[in-house]
Amino acid sequence: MPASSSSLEAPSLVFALCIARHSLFTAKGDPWLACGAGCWLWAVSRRKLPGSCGIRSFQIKRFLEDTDDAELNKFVKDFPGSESCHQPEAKTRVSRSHLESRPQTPDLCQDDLEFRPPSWPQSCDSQQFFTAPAPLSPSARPRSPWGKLDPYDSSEDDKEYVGFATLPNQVHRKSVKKGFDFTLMVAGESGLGKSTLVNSLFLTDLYRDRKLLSAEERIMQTVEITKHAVDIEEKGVRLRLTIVDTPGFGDAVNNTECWKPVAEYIDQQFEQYFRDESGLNRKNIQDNRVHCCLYFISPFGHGLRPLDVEFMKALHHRVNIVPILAKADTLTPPEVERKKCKIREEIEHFGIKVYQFPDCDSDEDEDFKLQDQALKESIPFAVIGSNTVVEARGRRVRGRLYPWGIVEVENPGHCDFVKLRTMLVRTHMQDLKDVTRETHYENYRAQCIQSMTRLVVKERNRNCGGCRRCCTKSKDR
Amino acid sequence: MSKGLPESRTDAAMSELVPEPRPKPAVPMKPVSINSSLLGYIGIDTIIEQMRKKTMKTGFDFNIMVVGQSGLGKSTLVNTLFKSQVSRKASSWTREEKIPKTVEIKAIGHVIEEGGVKMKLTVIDTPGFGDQINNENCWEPIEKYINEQYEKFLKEEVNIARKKRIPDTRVHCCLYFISPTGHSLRPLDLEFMKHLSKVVNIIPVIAKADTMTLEEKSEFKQRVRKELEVNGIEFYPQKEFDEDLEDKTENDKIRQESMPFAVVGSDKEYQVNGKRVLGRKTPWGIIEVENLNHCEFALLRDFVIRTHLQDLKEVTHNIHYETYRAKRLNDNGGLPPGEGLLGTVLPPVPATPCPTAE
Repeated sequence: MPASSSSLEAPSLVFALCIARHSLFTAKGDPWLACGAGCWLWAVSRRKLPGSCGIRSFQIKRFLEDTDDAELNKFVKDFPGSESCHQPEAKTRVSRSHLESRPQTPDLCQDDLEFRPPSWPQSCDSQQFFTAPAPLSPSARPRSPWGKLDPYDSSEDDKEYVGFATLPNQVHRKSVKKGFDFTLMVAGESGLGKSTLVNSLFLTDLYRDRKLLSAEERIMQTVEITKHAVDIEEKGVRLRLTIVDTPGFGDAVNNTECWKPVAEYIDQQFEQYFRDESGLNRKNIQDNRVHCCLYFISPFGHGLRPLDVEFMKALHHRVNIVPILAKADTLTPPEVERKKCKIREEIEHFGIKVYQFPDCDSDEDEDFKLQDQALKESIPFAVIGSNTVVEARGRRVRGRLYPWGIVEVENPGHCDFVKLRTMLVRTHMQDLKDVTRETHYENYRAQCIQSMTRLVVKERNRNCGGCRRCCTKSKDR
Repeated sequence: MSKGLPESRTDAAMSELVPEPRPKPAVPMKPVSINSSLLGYIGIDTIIEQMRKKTMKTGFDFNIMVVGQSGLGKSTLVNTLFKSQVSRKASSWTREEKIPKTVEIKAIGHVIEEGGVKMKLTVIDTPGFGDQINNENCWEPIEKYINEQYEKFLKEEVNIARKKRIPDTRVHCCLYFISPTGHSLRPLDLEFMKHLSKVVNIIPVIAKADTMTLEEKSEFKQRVRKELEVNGIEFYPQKEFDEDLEDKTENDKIRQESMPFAVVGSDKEYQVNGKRVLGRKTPWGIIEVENLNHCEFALLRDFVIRTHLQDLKEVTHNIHYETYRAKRLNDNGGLPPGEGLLGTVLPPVPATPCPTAE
């Protein structure tokens, strides 16, 4: 870079000059490209970076100079604006009209000539910067594929920003193509409406062919683990949903340790993932880890039963537990409040760590904060599920028809179904997956590795007989 | 005691007492009726009035036991049945009074009066039933309690100088609360009822029936009835004790259509259509306890109190108690530990079991 001078403002303009000079005075150059580059740099030098008051030219200089900066190169490559540098011809016509229509666009060509430094070493370094396209010349950018989501929608922004705030959108696009997966476990005594709720949440009928066992068949039954998988697509987004069910849980006369099969299943999935992750071919790892467990608490008890406490304590370190108060249409509103209070108290009393909603950032707006607060205070969610559609207040809704009235599943005044669905699907699905990945899986992994190491050490000690010679030798090494 | 019996008597008695088939109901033989036309009004029918006056003076007692998992509304239902606070609700327990580790038996007596008739009502509660993780044999304390009451009565009866009116603490009726899952009975329910239907009158009741819509309710009831039949569980009113055709048809109707009763209990009153009714107020409507379209509480109340109260007592006395007594008197010294007819001498038992009607 010719501008190795210590002055701070000069480099950006010098760069612009560079390009301008090259464009104007060489056969290969393109005058519009030159102007574009000039405008870009001028804009860049004036833009306001978040958190900083105005760009420092030296930052840009460092940015551009550091050819080892892989990110920049990658960014430049990936950013769709790079397309423009391959078809400069096509863009120019558009560019010209755009430029002309904008009053703020300075005409740098004249300015540049004035700032031309006396010594202008003709280094070939300028070449590499020249090939870096000007991705943000306002006209050169194609119409964004994200429409409304494009953070640079307004034409004002176009001039002032670098443009990497669109990175989340790129990630979004890639993931949408790949599709999402989510594994949800439902646990609780039979007859609490688990299947109905799952059907209501995801608007499917997963349990069509289920055969219910009679009481004497259930006497002989042990806890099983069953999986149902279903692919749901909505507005172009695909979700592979797996529901893990635990029929037989809590049904027998003697329910000692009936959570064991469930805990073992969860551990198995972690182990499988651990193996896959440590393996050689990691391209197609299937993630079967359980992301969330909805635990159904009976509304007929006085709060948590001993079995509920045991189950939750056995599993709160393995999976995100979201407690649910089932069949809430049994309870009147004051009863619901009382039970929720009691259950929350007991959860704290027994030290059960249910899934905690992440605190929202302090810079979120009041509305969002209130919503978040309301969500936290609704645990356990008092839900009602329904497979049938009834006519209520002139509309067809999911609900239950009683002689004394109609219960609407999606009415927030009747139950917390909407809150649960919002939390589970619309706002916290990703967070649930993250916590599973970062906390529960990592705990498992750490434990696993620790126990493996211990085993290895034990083996080694056993093999060498623990003789002093070996130990001291290894120490010296 | 059995040493005093002649050998032949023992054998005859033993052959009668095989555990499974029950002894023939000990009801008084019906006198042969001769249809005679009356020549005038005698006044025999006034005996009913005399009996009524007598019972009003003496009053009578009734012991009802409620069994079921905690939180199914047992105490509320009993309070609603007898329209008074006869049972203390577990939801008002303080933190220290948590679920007991073993099943406890708590009997609380009240005297309630209506229309000049006094009733000594005893409500026997069984907190801790079915609440633990391991519920094996949790019915045993209950069985033991019931047998203890029979034992007490037997002791009194067998005394030389016995009281005019033996205090009756035997359990006349056991309301068993089924959880309204909507699927079927739970294994625990089956086990309990199998063991206790031979010892006491069990009336199965579906608790908190406002959970279910009408179709779910009728499906669930059908399934429960079928399961009880398949498992050979005889709930009250038992088929084998129907005395005549009239009883049979009436009881058949109840057995096959109404039972188990799906009930809702409440101790709060609300205003509906200008009347004050007992009910539950929800955001989507008021559930009226005594409205037959909403739940079957009224049927249960009429059944237990208004039509079959005396029958419950009679069946308990004539059948369940007699079974127990015959078994006890024929056991060769196999007394329950810690108990015995110490201090009393058993009078020689006559050749044929003589029904004692009280």
